[in-house]
Amino acid sequence: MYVKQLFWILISYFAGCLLWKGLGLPIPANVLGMLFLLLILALKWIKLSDVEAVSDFIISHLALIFIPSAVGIMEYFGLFQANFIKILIPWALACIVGYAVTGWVTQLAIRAQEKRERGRA
Amino acid sequence: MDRLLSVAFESPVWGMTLTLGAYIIGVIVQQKTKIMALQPILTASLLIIVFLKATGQNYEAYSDQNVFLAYILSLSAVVLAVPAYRNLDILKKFWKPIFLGITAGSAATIITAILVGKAMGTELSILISLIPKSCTTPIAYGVSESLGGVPAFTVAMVVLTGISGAVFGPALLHLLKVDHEIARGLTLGTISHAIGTTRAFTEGEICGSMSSLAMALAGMITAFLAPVFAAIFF
Repeated sequence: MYVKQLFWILISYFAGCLLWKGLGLPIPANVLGMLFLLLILALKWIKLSDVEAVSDFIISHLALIFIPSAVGIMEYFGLFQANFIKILIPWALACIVGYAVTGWVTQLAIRAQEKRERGRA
Repeated sequence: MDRLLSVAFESPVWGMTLTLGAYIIGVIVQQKTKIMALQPILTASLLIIVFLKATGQNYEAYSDQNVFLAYILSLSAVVLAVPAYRNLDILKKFWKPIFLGITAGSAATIITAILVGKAMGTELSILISLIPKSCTTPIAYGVSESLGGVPAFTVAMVVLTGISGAVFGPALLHLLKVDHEIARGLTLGTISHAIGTTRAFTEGEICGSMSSLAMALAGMITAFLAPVFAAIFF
């Protein structure tokens, strides 16, 4: 029942809002809601099938949900034009450094772990 | 014709109808051309901007009509728990490399943006908006808002980051000699979020599911890191 799935998702979001207010963390309420949903799934309070279909539907159409926000860029064309280089360079370098650091650190750490496990076997 | 248009723009549904129509066109364009760069969100947004400019409608009128989507937007970060939960087994086995890689990569990309931006004298609100550029959009939106950035600008940079990552990411990873499928998937998801994940799935199931796991974890980790770095550097 899709309504029940939506109910669990809303409950998680609601819990996220309460945690956000209660703890005063600078983390968005919906991220806390995601952690809450992950927690109740991991603790088997609810089954994956209790939220799966509606979640997959939303995730498969994420792009649709963000179109109105992306269209909002039309309000910032001037800002883009006036600051093109000052936006482009930090952004591009941040992306490249992000790829290098994430890829290298993960790969080194995984290879190290695989080597240790082979050594033990 | 003018009369017809003005009647059309009085209806409360033209905005969301336009969004859905443009999205459907965007999906068809991608399916037909199979060009990675032609992401539905890119095609659809451009179509809508051209339409609004041509008909003289302002952004506010359009966005007010899309409150339903804005509501689902706030929920969409919550449901990312599902791909994270599905990959809990790989996460348990490799939790050290995964957390190490995502945290190091997220921190590196944030610090690079801040330091380079500061050195170039980039305006503060722009720089703050760049910080969550690698997060999946619902999280990026929230992080940008809570740090005092410009959320709409952040969303645009998130889309650009995703598209450029889907197009150039795999080649860049080969160049960097990152060839382990878990590491490749993890990097695509960490830096290029959902759009990178769609590309990661074309490399295989493990690469794709690692990418979707990384997208959720990197979003969370960035949500924790961003306020800390903002406090240190600004």
